[in-house]
Amino acid sequence: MLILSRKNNESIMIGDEIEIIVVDVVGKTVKLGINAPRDIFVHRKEIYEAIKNENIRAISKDNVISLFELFNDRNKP
Amino acid sequence: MSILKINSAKLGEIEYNESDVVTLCSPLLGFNELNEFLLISNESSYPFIWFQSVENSDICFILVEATKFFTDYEPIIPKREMKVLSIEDIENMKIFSIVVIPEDPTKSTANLRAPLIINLDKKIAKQIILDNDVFPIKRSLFTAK
Repeated sequence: MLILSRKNNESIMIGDEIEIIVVDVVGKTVKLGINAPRDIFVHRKEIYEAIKNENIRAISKDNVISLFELFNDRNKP
Repeated sequence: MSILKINSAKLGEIEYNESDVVTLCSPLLGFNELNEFLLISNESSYPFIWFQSVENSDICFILVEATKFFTDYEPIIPKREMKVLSIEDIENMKIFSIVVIPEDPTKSTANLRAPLIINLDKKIAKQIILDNDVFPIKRSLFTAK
């Protein structure tokens, strides 16, 4: 892994289009600003992983039919 | 227009036109290689909708129209995402949630944190992640009003 030291208001470039700026450092928290093209996905890693895992869990399984039945039963008058 | 076919693992043979295909602006997380899907609904599946991959016949998601199903769900879609999806008229936009069905289907949930936004007019879609963490990744389908 490449490790760089940066101070407040200094930044790094990733390729030509992505800039990450250190906006502020308070105690143990670093505030980052990110300039990136619209089609680049920027999210905290925890949430990225959580959504990815949830998508993978969502690929329909064999109990789809039982969900549909359950639903139809509950909605019967 | 020529009729195309795929053999879905879940739904059997499906016939469709090129114009039925919904294209993702960016792939669903975890499914980088898949960009083209079909929205399929039938009477027995209501209120759920199938989201069948065109490129991998084994991959099929189940969606629910989130803002209709959860009457208290009113996410704010960031302007930047509206632009990506070329949504000019809200009428053309639908907000779906991806459903997860565990072994016990009464514990099924919908992901309200990362809705799938579809521009029905242009047939383009994107899963967005909402910044606001009041929207749960797992919202029970069966406690919905």
